[in-house]
Amino acid sequence: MVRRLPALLLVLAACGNPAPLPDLAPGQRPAPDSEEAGLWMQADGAEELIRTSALRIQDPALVDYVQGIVDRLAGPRAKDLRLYILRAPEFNAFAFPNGALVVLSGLILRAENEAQLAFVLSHEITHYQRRHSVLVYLSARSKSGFAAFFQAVANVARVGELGAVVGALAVGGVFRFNREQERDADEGGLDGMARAGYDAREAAKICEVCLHETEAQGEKDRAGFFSSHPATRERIETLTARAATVAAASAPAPASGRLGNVLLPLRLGFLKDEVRRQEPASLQILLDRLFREGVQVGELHFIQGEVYRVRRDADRAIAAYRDAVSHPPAPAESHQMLGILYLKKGDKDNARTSFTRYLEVHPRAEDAEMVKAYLKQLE
Amino acid sequence: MKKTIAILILLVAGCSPWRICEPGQRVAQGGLYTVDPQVTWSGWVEGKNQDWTVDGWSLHQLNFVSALKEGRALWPPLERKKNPPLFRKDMTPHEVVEFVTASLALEGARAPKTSAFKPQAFGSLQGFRFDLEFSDSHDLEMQGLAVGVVHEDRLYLILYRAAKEHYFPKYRESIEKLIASIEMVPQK
Repeated sequence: MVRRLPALLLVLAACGNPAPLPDLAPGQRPAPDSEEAGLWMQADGAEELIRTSALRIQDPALVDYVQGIVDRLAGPRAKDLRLYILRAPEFNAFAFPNGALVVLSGLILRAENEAQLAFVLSHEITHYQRRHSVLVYLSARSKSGFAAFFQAVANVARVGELGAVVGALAVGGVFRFNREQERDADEGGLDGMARAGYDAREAAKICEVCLHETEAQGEKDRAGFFSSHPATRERIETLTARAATVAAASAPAPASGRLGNVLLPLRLGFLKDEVRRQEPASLQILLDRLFREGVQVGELHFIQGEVYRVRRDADRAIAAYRDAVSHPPAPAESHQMLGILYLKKGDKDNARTSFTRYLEVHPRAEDAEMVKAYLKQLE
Repeated sequence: MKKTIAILILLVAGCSPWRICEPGQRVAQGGLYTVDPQVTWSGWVEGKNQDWTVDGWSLHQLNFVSALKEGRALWPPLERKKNPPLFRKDMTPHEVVEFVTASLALEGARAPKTSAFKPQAFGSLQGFRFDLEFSDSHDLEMQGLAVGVVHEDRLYLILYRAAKEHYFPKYRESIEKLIASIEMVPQK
């Protein structure tokens, strides 16, 4: 997520571990004169940036849906948590020490069902409830000093690709949890989802989704939710074993349809964000899964065309865009991209047909004048 | 820091990369064309590219990208980032727009959106233009416009971006006049 964090985080992670703190009770806030209160104040400032960010998704159906999952997981603590969904093609979520819970659209896109999303949320709620950020802060402060610590946070806040929001997320994300804290959050997250009636076996499955994408992209590790310790493979094994002990107590997984229905109106936009990320191999894993689900495949064929176009495979891109237009409703851009690719190949007839069709289905397109110029050029 | 050192070296060498661009004094860009600045700008020259501002880079800037070759990023620093968008000489105007917005996104622009994309004369050449909106890396709402042309396999682009509030409207007319002032340099 924050690509320049690792060096700083290694320093923080290397620091000594203070004794565990008691869990935050529902409604509990730190004493006003405590160091923890200072930490919350920093988080409050970061939260304000996120609250007003242009990236914040305010779609009522999606926000209500995810809030419903948070309420179900957090029970009496739900009123202490504030949910923010940000549009960013990253497989990630964060819990700030003050109860701000940030979920990125890339995570929602990749969760195969509500139970998988619930596990990640439950994991983050566990970090909040068990005050892991405070422990990391106390550990770091004991070694590097208060001023140095916050200078490091300030430096981190200036870098990254999400701009000011990165700075805000850094306040949450800089608290790189150690191996034990991650295990603790995995256990707490899995137990929490099971208590809420979700199928705990889905926890390991979302880890597998991330692992497959990582391997497809040829990376050793990915920045994101699963970039921290313990390693993803170990987490999958641990979560699978633990799920077997609690699965009997949990209800069957909710149907994936509910998440899918809420996501569907936003899915094309989220997928376009993924295309811009220029990681076609990992996107292909996601696309293959969405094709298997078979919902609104026209837009999936369009995205498939975009993936091929990023890979500069014009022939396959054309085939995919053609598949898109034969599976309505497909994005009008399918015709536009067909026109452009045919134009580049010198196939004037097909270029003319595609551009004409594009203007028919999208007469008020922002690029209509440019497309008309292409058509004139083709005359 | 590197930029500061570069400035010091160049100042000592007597060839400052800074220049004042005055109205009525035409400024050459990439050996292909000249423009009339319309207002007084502070300009930074880096290779064939120039970046101009009046009120400060973070509030508004006018970028001239000239003679960009196949396989290069819009700005050299982007080439050090992961998966930078690269210019291809066979790009259509649509693909150039995509290239520019992807480059801005890699620089930190959030949710760049283009509109009013249409053909436009670039001096005596047939180019294109588009309007632009995005949030910058500090979540400041920005507005912009660009004109460009791919000429002899190289991209020439004039990109203006400014805070949506106050700065974009303040200079818009001057920018339009500057674009209209493009004159091609006679080629040998």
